[in-house]
Amino acid sequence: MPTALSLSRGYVCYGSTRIVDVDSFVVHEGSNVLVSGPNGSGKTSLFRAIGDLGAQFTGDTWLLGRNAQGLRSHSRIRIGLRFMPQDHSAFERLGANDHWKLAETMFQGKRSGSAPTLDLPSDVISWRKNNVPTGQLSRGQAKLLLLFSMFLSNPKLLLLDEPYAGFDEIKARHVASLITRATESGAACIIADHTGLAVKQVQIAQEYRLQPPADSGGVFALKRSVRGPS
Amino acid sequence: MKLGNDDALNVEQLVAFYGTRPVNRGASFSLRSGESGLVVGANGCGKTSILRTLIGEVVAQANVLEVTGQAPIFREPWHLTRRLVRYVPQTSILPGAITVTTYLRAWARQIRHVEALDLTSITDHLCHVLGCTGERPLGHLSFGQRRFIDLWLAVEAAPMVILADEAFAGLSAAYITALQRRFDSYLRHGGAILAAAHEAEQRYWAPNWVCRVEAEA
Repeated sequence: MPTALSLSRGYVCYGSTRIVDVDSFVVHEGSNVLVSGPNGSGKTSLFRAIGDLGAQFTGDTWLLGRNAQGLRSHSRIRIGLRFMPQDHSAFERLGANDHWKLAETMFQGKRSGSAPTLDLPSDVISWRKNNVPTGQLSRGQAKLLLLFSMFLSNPKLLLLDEPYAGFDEIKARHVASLITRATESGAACIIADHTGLAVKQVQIAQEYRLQPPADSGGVFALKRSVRGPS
Repeated sequence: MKLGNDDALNVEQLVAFYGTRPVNRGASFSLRSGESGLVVGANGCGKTSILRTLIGEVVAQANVLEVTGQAPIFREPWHLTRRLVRYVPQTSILPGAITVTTYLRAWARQIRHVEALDLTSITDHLCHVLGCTGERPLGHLSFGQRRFIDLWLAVEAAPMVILADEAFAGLSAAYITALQRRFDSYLRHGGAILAAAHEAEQRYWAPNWVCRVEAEA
């Protein structure tokens, strides 16, 4: 399969603060890659560097067939990168259907043709129908709404930061079906997960671990897991 | 150290409202000093809303609604009640631009009611657990690290009741273990904890009781 993302020989940093060493990190299209590590090991920073969202990667970056050096965040989104942060970023006073329309407007426009058919849960349909302000939805509900609306844009590489956190069993299954649908359509997903549900509910092609530094002054290093493909 | 009176929370048929819309079916529970209670249910059933009624952030109707012996007043500035009650929301509200040390100094100024607060010790301990220096901006910490700070400081503030919303969601095993020990110590000293969690997170708690909440149809 073609490569969706490749990071090599560099480190993730905020300005002069070095966060994670990366020797080689490769994600193929149509596959799920799990990134694991304790809180504070740099998972979210890695995602921010991939998205050019405040963090930087100093080495070589190939993203969806392009050299991403110097490619700003809006350009990365334009070529198919999507980032779902751990905490949702819904506008509290905007209704559920307004969010949906915003996602359609932002990501589809005239370029991507018709919207993909999503098998929406009944509660998502109800929130849209009543245009419920997301401030009146629970955190999990708002996160689910945004997750579904993100798939309107036919993403090619998804960065999913703790996609299962804060979801009950039923909603966790919705998340799993969305991830499976994305990979079946050729997208790649990079998943950071503490719950252990990702391994149980979707097929993980490769796992990378953030390993702690050997000495107190060092930084975490991203290493391919010895466990290999599931 | 005696933290609370015996009745930390007393609630009968509590229903949270958004406008005129009831969120949940009536929930009843009481929590005494030294006890922990767990509110569980599906996404959107009203767990967070119930916790927020207890600090006056959400309108409520109830036969009885007492928090440390008082009725919370809707939209009373919540800092007035924070010496009695600490609410830790799901999302950290720590400011991103200031450093850990600066934030802890500001936090300590609010906690003047705690005798012999050892700020240096708290700062050193937190930085050790987080694996960072006190000069790290809070915005450079991960979601889990900021949640850990919120929860840890809620205990250090020694309120009569802690309301913890999805306390362990997104936390790694080491942080969960550290917090479980801290919560146990807090309860042994007479504190009380009301936590909201999903079924999957129940395994992290050993509560005195579990209250299942259902959404109003």
